Amino acid sequence: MLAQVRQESGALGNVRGGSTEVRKLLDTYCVGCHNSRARAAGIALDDLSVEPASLHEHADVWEKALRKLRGRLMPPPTSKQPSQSEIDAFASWMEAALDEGRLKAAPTLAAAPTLAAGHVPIQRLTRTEFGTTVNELLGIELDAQTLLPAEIEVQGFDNIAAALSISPAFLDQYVAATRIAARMAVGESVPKLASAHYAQPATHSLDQVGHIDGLPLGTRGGMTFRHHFAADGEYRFTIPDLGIDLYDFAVETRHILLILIDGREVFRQSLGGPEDLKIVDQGGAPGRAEIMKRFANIPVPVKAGMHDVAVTFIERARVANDEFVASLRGEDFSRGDRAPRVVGGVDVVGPFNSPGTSETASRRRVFVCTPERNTERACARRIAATLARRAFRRPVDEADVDALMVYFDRGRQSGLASPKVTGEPVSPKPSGGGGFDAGIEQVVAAVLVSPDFLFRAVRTPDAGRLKAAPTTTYALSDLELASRLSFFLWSQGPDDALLNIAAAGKLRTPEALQAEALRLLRDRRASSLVRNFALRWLDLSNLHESVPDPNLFPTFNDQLRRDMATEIESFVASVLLEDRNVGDLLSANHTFLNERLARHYGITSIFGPQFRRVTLDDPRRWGLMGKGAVQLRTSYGDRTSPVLRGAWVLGKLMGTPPTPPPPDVDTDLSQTKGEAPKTLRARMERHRTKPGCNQCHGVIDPIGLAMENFDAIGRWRDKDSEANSPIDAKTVLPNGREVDGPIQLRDAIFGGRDLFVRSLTEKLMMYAVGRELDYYDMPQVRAIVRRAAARDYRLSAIVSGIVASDAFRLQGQPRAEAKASGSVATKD
Amino acid sequence: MFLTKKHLSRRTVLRGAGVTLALPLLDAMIPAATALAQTAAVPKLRMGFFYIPHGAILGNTAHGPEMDRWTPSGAGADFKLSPILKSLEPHKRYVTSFGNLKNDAMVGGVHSLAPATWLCGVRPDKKSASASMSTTLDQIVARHIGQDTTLPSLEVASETTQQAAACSGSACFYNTTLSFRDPHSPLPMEHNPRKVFIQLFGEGDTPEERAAISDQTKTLLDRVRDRIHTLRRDLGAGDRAVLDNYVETVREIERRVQLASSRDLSAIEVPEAPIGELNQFGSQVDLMFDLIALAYQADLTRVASYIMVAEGTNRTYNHIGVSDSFHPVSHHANDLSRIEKLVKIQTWHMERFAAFLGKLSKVKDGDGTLLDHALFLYGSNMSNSDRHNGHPLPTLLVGGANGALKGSQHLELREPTPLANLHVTILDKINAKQESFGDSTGVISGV
Repeated sequence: MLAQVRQESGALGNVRGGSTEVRKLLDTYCVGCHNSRARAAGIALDDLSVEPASLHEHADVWEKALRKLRGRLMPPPTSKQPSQSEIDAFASWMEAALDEGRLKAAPTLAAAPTLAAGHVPIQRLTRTEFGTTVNELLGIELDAQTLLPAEIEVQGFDNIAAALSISPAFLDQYVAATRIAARMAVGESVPKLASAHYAQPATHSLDQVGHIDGLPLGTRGGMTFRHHFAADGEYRFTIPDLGIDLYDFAVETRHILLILIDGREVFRQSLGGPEDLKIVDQGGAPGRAEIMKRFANIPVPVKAGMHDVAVTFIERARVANDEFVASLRGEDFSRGDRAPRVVGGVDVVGPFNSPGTSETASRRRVFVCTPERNTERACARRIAATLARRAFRRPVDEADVDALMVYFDRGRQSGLASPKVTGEPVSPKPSGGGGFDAGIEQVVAAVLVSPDFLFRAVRTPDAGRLKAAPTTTYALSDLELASRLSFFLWSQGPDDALLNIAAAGKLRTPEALQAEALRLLRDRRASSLVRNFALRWLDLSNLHESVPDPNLFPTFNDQLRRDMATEIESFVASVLLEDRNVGDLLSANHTFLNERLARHYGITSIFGPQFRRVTLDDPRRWGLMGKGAVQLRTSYGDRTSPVLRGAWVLGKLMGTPPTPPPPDVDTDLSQTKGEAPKTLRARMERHRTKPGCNQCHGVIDPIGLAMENFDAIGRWRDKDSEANSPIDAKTVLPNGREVDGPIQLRDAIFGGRDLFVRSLTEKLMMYAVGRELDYYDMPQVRAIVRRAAARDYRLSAIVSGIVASDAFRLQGQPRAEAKASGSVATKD
Repeated sequence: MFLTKKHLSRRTVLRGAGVTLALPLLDAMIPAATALAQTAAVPKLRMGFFYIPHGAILGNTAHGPEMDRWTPSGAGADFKLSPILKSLEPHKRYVTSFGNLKNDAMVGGVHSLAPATWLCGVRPDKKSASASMSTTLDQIVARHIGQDTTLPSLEVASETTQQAAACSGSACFYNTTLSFRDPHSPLPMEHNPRKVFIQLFGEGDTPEERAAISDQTKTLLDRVRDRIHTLRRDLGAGDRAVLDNYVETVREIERRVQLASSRDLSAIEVPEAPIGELNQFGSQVDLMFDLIALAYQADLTRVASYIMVAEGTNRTYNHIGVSDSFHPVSHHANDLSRIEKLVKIQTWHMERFAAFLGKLSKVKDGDGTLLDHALFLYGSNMSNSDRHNGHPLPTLLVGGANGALKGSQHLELREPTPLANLHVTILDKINAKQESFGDSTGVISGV
C-alpha cells in the first residue's frame, strides 16, 4: 500500500515549487486574522513555514485550513474571497505536499512515527452488534434495542470505541439479555404459559376502512405483528375490542374477520348482519359481550418459532352512502364506525397442551449433534466448542470448553435454567435434573456473557513483559484483523470461512485481505452498512424524531414517514450494495416508491401499496437531496429550516461541517406577532445583515435556501403559502456562483464528485476502525479516493482502500491524556 | 416486539396502547398500611434531581424584570409563587427558591455541556479521548443514602437524550446524561418505561423463578470475573482500566442481586410492566414520574435523576397549543409570542412535577408522607435560552427533607453564587458534609 501511494503521489505533480504562491494566498486572505498577534482561533499562519519539507510539522493546522477552504467556511463571507481556482490550486498543492511529507516521514513500517496510525481502545460490542451477532449465532430474532441501554453516539455512529461506556444498568440488562437469548435458542422443555398484548399502532386505527400495508390484498383494516411462539402447541387469540358500541353502525352489515399466520388462514368468523344487529339493538351491553365472546380465546395450533400474525377483515363492496363517510379525515366523527374494526389490539396466550421442546431453526443451528446415552458429554462439548469459536472469534482450546462444561453440568443437574413453574399442573421433572437441554441453555448463556464475546481489543505485544508500553505502531494479528473486517462490513463477528483463514495466519497477506473484504461485501450481511453506517452518517435513521405539526401538515402521518424511511433505505442500498459509483447517491435517477409516497411527490402513475424501483424523469427528485426523508429530517415541526439544510449539506455531503453557533446568538426565525407575513427567506436575509451571524450563515444559508422548494414534509412547492408569495430559490454560493433551485445547487457543489466521495470515505473509515479520524489519517483518505477514482468510485474500491490502509491494519499508541486516565489501573 | 411475559394467574388485564397504564401504576401499589410502609422508625430520605433544558423566562430578557415568569418572592406567609410555579401552591411550604445562582462550567458549550455539568460544576476535560469530568452530585448522594436499596440510583428520561446528531468528539459525552458515576463513567438515562420497570422489579413472576434467575445471574457473573482476569493480561494500560471498571460493575451487580434476594416483596402488589415508550408525551412524562414514585414507595431506590425532556429537543407541544419545536422556539429573540410559548411549556412541566408531588404527599411513609421525607432539586442548567448563558439559573429545592429545610421562601443571594454552593449545602443537609465540590466557594445559609 505504501509503495503504491508513493507512486501515485509522485504523479500528483511537482510540489517543489509553489511555496511562493501559497504564501501569497495565505498573506492575502488569511493572515489578517490568523497572525501571531491576533491569533484568531489560536492559529497564526504567518509563523508557519510553507516549505514542503517542513509542512508535515504542522500538518494538523494545514489539514484544518484545507477543510475550511474547501467548504468555503473561511475566509468569512464579509472578507475578501479567493477565487475558486486559487483555492483549488492551493488545495492540490498543499494536499500533495502533505501526502508526500507523510510518506517521507514514514518510509518503512518499522520506523513509522507513532502517529502514523491512531489508537483504538478496547471495544465493547454495541447493542446493535450484540443483536446482530446473537441472532446470527443462534438463529433467533432478539430485539436488542428493547433489552439494552442506548449507546452514546459520536457523529451519529454508535460504535466509536471511546464512547462505549459501561454502567451497572448496562451489565444488569446485558446479563438478562444473554439469559433471554439462551432461552429463546434452546426452547423450553415444559414451556411456560405466557401472554402478550400487541397494541394497535396509532396509524392503523385511523385506517381501518382501508387496506393496511403488509396485509393481503383484498383485506381491509386490522393489524399485523411478529410473535415468538415459544413451543409447538395451542395458542389462544383474543381480540378485545372491535369497535362495537352503543350505536349499532358497526354491525349493520356482515363482515368477515380472519386470522392469518404466515399468510395462511387459521380462523374465520363473521360479524354483523341482521342477527348481530338485533342482538346489539335489543341486548345492550350483555348482548355486545355475547358477540365479543366469539372473538375471545380463539384456539389456534402453532409451530414453535417466529411467525407473522395478521388479524384483518375481508374487503367487501361499500354501500353507496359510505363514500361520503370515507372521505372524512382521520378520527373525524363517525369515520369507520360503519364497519367493525380492530381498535384494542390483540392478545396471544399460550402454549397450551404443548408436547414439549419443539424443533426450531435455532435448535437446528445450536444442536450440532444429538446426544445418545453414552455420548452426552461429548456432544455437549461439541456444541460448546462450536458456539465458543464463533462467539469468541478465535480457535478455542480444551480449557475453554472445560470452563463451559461447568455450566453444562450445573444446568444438566439442577435444571436451574428452567424453573418449571406455571399456573397449570406441572409434570414431574425428568430424572437427572434439568436434562441435556437445560445444560446447553446454561452453556449458551455462559458463552454470551463472556468478556471474550463482549469485548474486542487489540492486544499489546509483550504487554505481559514490558512495564512501559512499546513506543511503536504495530500490526493487528490475523484474528484481530478478521474481527475488525467483519464488524466493519457485517456488524457481527467473522463467519467460519474468514475465521479459518485468520486462524491459519493467512489473512495478513494483502491478497487474502482484499479477497475476504470483497467476499464479505458481496454477502447479504453487508446490508448492515446501509442501516448502521450510511443512514447514521446521513442522520436519516431516526425519522420518527421529526414530528410535523398535524394542523399545518394534515396529510402527514406515520405511514408516510415509514414510506420515506423505506425509500431512503432502498435507495441507499441500491447504490452501495449494487456497487455503483457512490456519487450516484447524489444524482441517481432511480428511486423506490409506492402509491402513497409517489402521490406525495406529485407523481400519479404509481399504483398500489408495494414499493418498486422507479426511474424518475424529473431531476428534482434525483439523488439524496430530492428525497422526502432528507427534507423532513432537516425541517422543524412547523417549517423548513434552510439553516439545518445548509448545515446538513456542508457537514454530511461535503465533509466540511460549519462551526456550531457560539453563545449569545439568536438562531430562530419564526414569524413575529403582528408583523406582515414574510417568506422565511426574507426573514433570514434580515438576520444575515448582522455581521456576527453572517460569518457562518453567509455560507450555510445560501445552500439551504436553494432547497426551499421542498416544504417541511418534502413536497414540492412553488409558493410559500403562509407568506403567499412565490418561492425564490435563487442564491449566490460563497464562491460567487449563482444557483437557482436544488438541481443547480447539486451541480454547482458536486460537479466533481470527489468532495462527496472524500466525505463518504472519511466517515466510512471512521466507522470501520471505531474512532474519529485525525489529521494524520487524511493523506490515507486522499490516497484511497484517488485510487478509487480509477475504479469508478465504487463502494468496493473504497472498501478495498480502507482495509489496506494503515489506519485499518495498524494500532498506534494512545494519546498522552488517555494514558493518564488509564494510569489508575496500572497500580497492580 | 417482545412483550409481557407474565404468569397467567397473576395477570391483570391490560389493554389499549398504554393510556390506561400511565394512570394507575401508583394507585395499584402497596396498600397504605402494609408492613413496608410502617417499618421506618427513622424515615429514609428520598432524593431526586429533576432537569428541564433551555432555562426559564427570568428577569434577564430584553424586557427586564417585568417579564420574569419564574421567580417567586417573599418568605413564610408572604411567599408568593410566580406564574410558572403556580401549580406548586398546594406544596408551597415545601418549596425553597434560589435567585442569583450561576454555573460557569456550562458556559461556552452552547447546549452540549448543560446536562452533565448541572450536578457537578466542573468543566469537562475536552482533550481527553474518552469521557472525563467529575462524579456528579446524585451519585455522591447515592453513595451516602443509596447503599441499602437494590438500586443505589435510578436515571431516567422521557425521551431519547441523544438529540444532537451533529455532536462530535468529546461533546458527545456530556449532552445525554445528568449522571457520572465517576469522572469517566457517564450513566445512560433510560427512556423506555418497560426497561425502567424491569430495572426496579427484576424479572420472574414467582419467588421460585426469581430465585432461579438470581442464582443464574450469580454464576454468570462468576464467569465474567474469571475471564476478565485472563483477558486483561495481554492488554495495554488503558484497556486494562476499562476492564477493571467492568469488574467494579460486576461487584455492584452482585451487591444488587444479594440485596434483591434478601428482600421480601410479598407485601407489594407489583403492577403489570409497561409495554414500552408511550406515544403520548404527557403520559410518558407522567409514567416516568410514577415509576420514580413507585421506586421510592417500595424503597427500591432513594435517589432518582430525571431528564424531563431532552436538551436541544425538537419536540412540539401541540397538546398545550404550542406547535413550535421546543429548541428553536427557546431562541425567543425577546419576541413576546415566543416567550409566551416558552412560559406555557415551562408551566406545563412544572404542573407534571407538581402532580408527582401530589401523589407523594398521599403516600404514607413512617410518621409522615413520602413528600415529608423527600429532598428534590428542580431546575435548568441554563438561564436565558436565547443566550445560552449560565446565570441566574432557575433553581428550586422541594420537599420536607425530614425537617432539614425551612421551606416557603425565595432566597435572593446577594452576589452571583456558584450552583455548586447549593450542592455542598445539600450535602450538608443530608449529613454528607464535603468541604468543597466543583467550583463551590462555600455553603448557602438560611436554607
